[in-house]
Amino acid sequence: MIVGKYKYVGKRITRIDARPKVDGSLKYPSDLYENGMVWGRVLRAKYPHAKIRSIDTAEALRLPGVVTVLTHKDIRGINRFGIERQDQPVLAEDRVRYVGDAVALVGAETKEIAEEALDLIKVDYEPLPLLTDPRDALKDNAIKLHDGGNIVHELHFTRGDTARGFEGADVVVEHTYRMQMMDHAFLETEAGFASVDRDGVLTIQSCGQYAFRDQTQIARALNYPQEKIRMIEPYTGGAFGGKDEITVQILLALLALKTGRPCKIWFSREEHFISCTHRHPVEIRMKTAARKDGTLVAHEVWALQDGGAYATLSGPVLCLVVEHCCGPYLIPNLRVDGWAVYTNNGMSGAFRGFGATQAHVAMESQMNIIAEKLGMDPLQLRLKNAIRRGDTFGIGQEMVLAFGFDASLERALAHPVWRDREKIRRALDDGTVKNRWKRRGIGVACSIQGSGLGKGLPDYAATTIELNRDGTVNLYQGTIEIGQGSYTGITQVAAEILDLPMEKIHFIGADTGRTLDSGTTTASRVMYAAGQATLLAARNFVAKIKDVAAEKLGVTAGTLLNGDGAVRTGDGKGALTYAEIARAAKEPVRAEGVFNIPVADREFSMGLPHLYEQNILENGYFKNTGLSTYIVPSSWEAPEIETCPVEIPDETGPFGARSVAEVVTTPTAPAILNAIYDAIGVRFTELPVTPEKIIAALEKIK
Amino acid sequence: MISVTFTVNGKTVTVGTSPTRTLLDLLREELGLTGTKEGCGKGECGACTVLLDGKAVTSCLVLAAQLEGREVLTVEGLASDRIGKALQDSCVESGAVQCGYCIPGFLMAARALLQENPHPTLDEIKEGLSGNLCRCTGYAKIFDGVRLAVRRLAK
Repeated sequence: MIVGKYKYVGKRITRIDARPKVDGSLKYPSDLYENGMVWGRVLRAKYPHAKIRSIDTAEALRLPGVVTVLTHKDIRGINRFGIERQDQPVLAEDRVRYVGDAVALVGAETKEIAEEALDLIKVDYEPLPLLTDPRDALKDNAIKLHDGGNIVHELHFTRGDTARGFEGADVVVEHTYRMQMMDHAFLETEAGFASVDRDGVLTIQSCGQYAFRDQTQIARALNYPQEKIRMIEPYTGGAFGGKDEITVQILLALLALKTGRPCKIWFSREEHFISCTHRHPVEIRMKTAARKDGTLVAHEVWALQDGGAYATLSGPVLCLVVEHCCGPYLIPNLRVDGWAVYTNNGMSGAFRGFGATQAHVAMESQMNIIAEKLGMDPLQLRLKNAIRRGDTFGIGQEMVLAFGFDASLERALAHPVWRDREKIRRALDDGTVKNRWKRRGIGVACSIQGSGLGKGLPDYAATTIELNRDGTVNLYQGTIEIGQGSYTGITQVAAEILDLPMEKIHFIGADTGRTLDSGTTTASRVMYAAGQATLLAARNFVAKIKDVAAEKLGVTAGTLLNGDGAVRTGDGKGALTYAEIARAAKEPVRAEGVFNIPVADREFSMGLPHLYEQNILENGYFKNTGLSTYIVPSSWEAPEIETCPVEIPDETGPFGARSVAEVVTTPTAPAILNAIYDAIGVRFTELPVTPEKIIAALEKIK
Repeated sequence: MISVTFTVNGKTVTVGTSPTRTLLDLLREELGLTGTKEGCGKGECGACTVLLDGKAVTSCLVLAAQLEGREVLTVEGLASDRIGKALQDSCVESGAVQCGYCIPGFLMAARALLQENPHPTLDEIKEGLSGNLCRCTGYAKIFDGVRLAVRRLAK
C-alpha cells in the first residue's frame, strides 16, 4: 500500500457480496428457474476417438416430454469455438476426439425426461486408433487429430551459449519432472439460463469468466447477430480458469433459439469432470549448471505439454511454461524448447498459475538439488541469483515495475521457521513412541507471476459511474466475481475517491447490456486493471459533479470540495448534496474511466491440491469422475498458513495495489516436495505425491 | 405421485411429487428455496446440507417419501435462529465467504454441530465440517467464523 491515510482502501471491509451469500439470497447461474422452461442435457461421446457414421434421434423425439433433439445439422454458423483457435465443435459432426465431445443436445420438459432421452439417441460410431502419449504426437507417423497436425504450438528460444556455460560450471544437474492433469473442482458445476424475446434478443445468464468474449463466440458459432445477444455473468460458484472457455453458453443459445422457450442447462458433476478443461499435464526436462559460489550459468529446458483434444488456451499456457522456466532467477545462457500437442486425453486449458505452476515445480526442485550439491543454504542460493527491478531475465522480460522478490527472500531468511529449521526438524527425534514414525522436513520454494495478459495483447478495463436521483451511485464494471473479492476491492477504490460510504455504491457486474468490456477475469489482472479504471472513472465523476455544482452555486469548480456525498464551497457556505446535484444536472451525470495496462514485459505471474490430486485417464477414459474418487482437500487437510506480506507499492496500480491471485499458489507444491526430501531423503520428480507413493519409496530405501 | 406434508423453516407445506424426487429438488424447484446448493448430487460435497429434524443431512440423498411430518431447516430460515444468525454474522465478518457457493452447506453443518456441542475444539469443528468441501478459502477462515460464533454465543 502506498503510504497514506485512507478511509476505505486498506481497511478490513466486509465483502459486499457476503451477506446475500450467507442468507441464500444471491442467485448463482444454477439458481435460475422459470415455469415452462426447457431442460437441456448433452449427449457426450461414447469413445475418446471415433468417426461418427450417423446420428438417429427419431426414438428420442418420440419420448413424451421431449421438446427437441438437436445435432450439428441444426447449427447455421461455423459450429466451432475456442478462445485462441476455433477448432472445437459445439456439436460433433463426423468425428469425436475426446469423451467430453458434445454429440447431441436434448431439450425436455423435465431433467429426468431429458436424461432418459439421451439413452434413446442412436449414434453409429467407428472407433479410431488412439493418441494418448504426447510423445507420440510429435512423431511424423502419428495419427493426425486435426488437419493441421498434432502440434498446437511450439516455442524455441536461446540466449548466450549453454554448451559453454555447462563447460565452465562446477555443478550440473539434470532431471525430468512430470506434472499431472488436475481438475478445478469448483463447487458450482457449469450452469446457465437463456431466454429469447419477440425481437429475437437472446439473454443468457451463465457462469463464465469473460461475458464479452462469450457473446462473440456464440455469435460466431451460431451465425447469430452479436448485438442480439446479451450476456449476464456477474457471479459464479468458483472458476479458477475452468470457466474461461465456453461451457454451457452456446448450447443454451442454440436451445433457446430452437425452442423459443426459456432454457436451463446445468452440467452434472460427472459431466463436468469429463467435458471441461483441466490443468495441463506437462513433462519438463531441465539441465541446470552453477558455479561453486552458487551463480547459475546455464539452463536447458525441454517441455512437452499435453493439451488434449482441442486447442483452447494450450498455446498461451505453453508461453507461460516457457516464460517461467528460469523461475525468478538470472541465468545468462539459456535454451528452451517447448511443444503443446493434441491427444485424446480429455482437454486442458486455463488453470490457476497457467503453466507457471508446472514450470516452477521443476525449477524450484532444481534449485534445492543444486544448493545441496554446493552445500549452500537454498534460500541464499536463490538470493544470489534473484532478479531485481531493472533486470532483463528469462526469455527477455524486463522487470520495469515494482518488484519485491529480493525483499521477500530477506524476510524469509530472517523468519524463525527458516532460522531454527534444524531445531524444528529434530524436535520429533525425541525417542517417544508417539513420534517414532514421524519425520519433519522444512521446504522452500519461490515463484514469480505478473498481473495482466502480457506483451502484445490488448489489456484494458473500463468502469462507468453514474449518479442516481437519491444521491447514491451506480458502478458498472464488466469483470466477474468468481470468489476473489474484486467487486469489493473495486468498490473500496470508488468509495475512497468519491469519499462516499460503500453502501451508497451499487455494484453492477458483468452484463454486456450495461457494463463496458473490461477484458477477461483471469491472469491475476482484475484488481489491478479494473481497480485502476475505477479510480480514473471516480476522478472523472468527481470533476463532473463539481462542474454541475459550480454552475448551480455560481462559483468556479476549482474552489469546490467533494466529500461525504456532497460538494461544498471552500468557505463552507454553499453546499449541494449528490441528490441535489442529480436534480440540478441538465443531463444524467455519468463518467467513464479506461485503463490500459502499461506496455511492458511485466513478468507474469492452488497450491496444496497440486501435490496430490489427479485426473486419472486410461485409454482416453476418465476413471475418477466424482468427488469421492477425485479427492480434494477437506477440512482435515487444511494447513495452518502464516502470511508475512512484503508490500512494495506498484505506482501504476490503484493506490499501489497489484493483484495477488495466482502467484501465491504456485510455490506450494515444490516447497512441499523440497520438504519431503528434507524429511526422508527421497526426491519426488513426479506429481501427484500420495502417502502410498511415499511408503513405496521408503520401502525401496530399506 | 404422492402428496407429502412437512415443515420448511417453520412453515407447513404440502407438495404433490414423485416419491423418488429428492428433498434438494423439492426445495429448489418446487419451493423456490435456491439457497440450498447442489455440487455433486451424490452426497459427496455437502453443498446441499440442510437440517432434518435438527440433524444435518445432505438433501440430495433424502427422498420425498421420507419427508411426511418432518421438519426441515434451510439457509433461508437460519437468520431466525439464534445460533444460525450468529454463524451467518461471524462468517461474514471473518472472511469465510469467497465464491460462497459452499457456504450455505457449511452454515447448516455448523449449526448442527453447535446444537450438539456448543463449545467445540478446533478438531471437533474440523470433524463437524469434514463432510463439506470448499475450493476457495482453504477452510481456515470458515473455522475462524465458527469459533467467533462460539465465543459470541457463550456471552
